[in-house]
Amino acid sequence: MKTIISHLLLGFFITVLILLPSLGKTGVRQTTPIESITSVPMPIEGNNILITEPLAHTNILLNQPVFAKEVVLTITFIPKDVEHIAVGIRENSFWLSYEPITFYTRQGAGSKDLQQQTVTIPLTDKLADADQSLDVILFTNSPINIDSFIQNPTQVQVNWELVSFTAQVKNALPSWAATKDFIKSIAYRERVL
Amino acid sequence: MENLRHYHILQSLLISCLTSYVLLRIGAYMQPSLISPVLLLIPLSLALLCALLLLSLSTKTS
Repeated sequence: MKTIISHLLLGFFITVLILLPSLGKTGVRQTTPIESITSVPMPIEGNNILITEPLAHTNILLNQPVFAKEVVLTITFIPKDVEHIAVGIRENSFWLSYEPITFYTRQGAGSKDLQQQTVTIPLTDKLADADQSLDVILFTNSPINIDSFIQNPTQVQVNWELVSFTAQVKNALPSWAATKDFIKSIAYRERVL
Repeated sequence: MENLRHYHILQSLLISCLTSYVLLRIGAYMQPSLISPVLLLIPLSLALLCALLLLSLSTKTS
């Protein structure tokens, strides 16, 4: 019996050793090209990406578990005439479970020019894909009527330019509520549908 | 005597690596985003190495 327990403990220790390097990784992560929610790439104007739909999607290739992590998004953009822009990361299996965080609201003519904003989002309560990537959506002029948007996605047009979008992962102590969400996602075998 | 000691160490490592593989596999089953498929290869490769060493040790002893 003692031998079995010692083998199990050593097995557990080896598992922790294997997981440790991926748990502690920080730094800039790659993102996939910005596309519409129907996977059509957004047009490129010069060096900038032209956002023409209210919902623009990208993936952050996290390559590690979301627990005790936060992502710092640095977004450089030219807002042109849009009212406001927000960003959100998928939280659960529902396809539109994003909590948009507004990083731009139009305030006078001066705010139409090139600008940079930084948004920090805790990741512990977010749901990653099986390939350890995070779904990110840029919301323009939200809230929009999702049903009518799905019926006619090209009817609702927006126009602003994304100059750069970078994602940097940092370690962060998760809240108790986020930790509970993380445990729940494992216990209920939550999947990105 | 020395071979027997090595045999026990390798046997223990083999079982532990397989245990680790099972634990990672359960983790990946419960939440795929938790464990990268590449990580599953580590305990499996270690277990294979231990098995090969055990085999060579037993051949040498016999």
